[in-house]
Amino acid sequence: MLDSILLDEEGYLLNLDDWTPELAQQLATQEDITLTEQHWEIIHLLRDFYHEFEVSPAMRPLTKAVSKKLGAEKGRSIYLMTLFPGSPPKLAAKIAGLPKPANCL
Amino acid sequence: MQHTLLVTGSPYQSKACHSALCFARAALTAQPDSIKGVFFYEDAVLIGNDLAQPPRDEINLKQAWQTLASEFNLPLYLCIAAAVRRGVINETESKRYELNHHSLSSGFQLEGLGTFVELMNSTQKIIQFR
Amino acid sequence: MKNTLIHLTSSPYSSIACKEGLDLALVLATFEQKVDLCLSDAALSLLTKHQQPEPEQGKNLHKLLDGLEFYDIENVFIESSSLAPDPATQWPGITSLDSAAWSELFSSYQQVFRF
Repeated sequence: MLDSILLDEEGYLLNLDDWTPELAQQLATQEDITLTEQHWEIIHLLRDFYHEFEVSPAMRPLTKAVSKKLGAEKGRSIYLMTLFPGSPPKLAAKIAGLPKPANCL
Repeated sequence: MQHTLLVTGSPYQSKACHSALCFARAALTAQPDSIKGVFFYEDAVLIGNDLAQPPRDEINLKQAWQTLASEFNLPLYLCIAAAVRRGVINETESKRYELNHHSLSSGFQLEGLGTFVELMNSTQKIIQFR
Repeated sequence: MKNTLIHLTSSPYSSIACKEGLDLALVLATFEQKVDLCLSDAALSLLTKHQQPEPEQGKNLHKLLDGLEFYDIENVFIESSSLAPDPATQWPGITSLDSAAWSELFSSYQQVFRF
């Protein structure tokens, strides 16, 4: 199982380089999420977003980025909420091994 | 007319916290509700460090702010991200980061920048001290 | 709603002022506030392409420029006389203003914050 030393007090990775797809599975399991193809495309998009711009997006930029890359249907917050319930930007960032988005609504 | 003050200059490298204090005191004395809140950002959050001790023969700026705040019921907000980065930590954050200490002085509160946006939209004018 | 101009003047690598200024811009945008950016002085170096800072030097804030569109931050202004000799080395998304328009810029917002 997950070594708790790898994670901060809220469950985000301490060392972003530790992330692997297998680790994402474990992080998701801890959040009671079974990763599907739909989850993975958001996770990859988030990781690309972070590497491109060096920032974890809040909800609005996330939905815009999803709309642009995966189509308007998936860029709706309702869709993202079904995949990552509660706060999609926070939960998806956690599973994608990225820093918690700042000042997230 | 209600103002919001945004203070960004370090209490040590600038006079931002001093000037803002003088302005706030003058404004509140003239009209007690003229300032809705003071938001400290960047190095100005160091004003809320309870552990900092000025030499006895210099002004205790933190105390001066606390006095003003309690006299006029003026909220003093420190940006939480800027404060935590600089070790100005309240009890909640201390627990969150599993630390043994907290360092936030009384009379100050840690808030997100969202609080600043709210202040901004509910007052007529914002004045930055840097 | 108010419109805000964030004016960056500090070097992106000498302090975290640029970082904290940009953080504020992103938060304002996240809260659906209208926000524009303008750059002058040492902050202009933010625009130079192909920056590769080491962690000790700070985050690569240049990368964020391309992400601004996702926050609906549409305008990054500079004064045209401050443009680098070779525009090809600069981030292409800037709007450059002549001196008169640059001076006027600061009175067209309800508030200007400097970092």
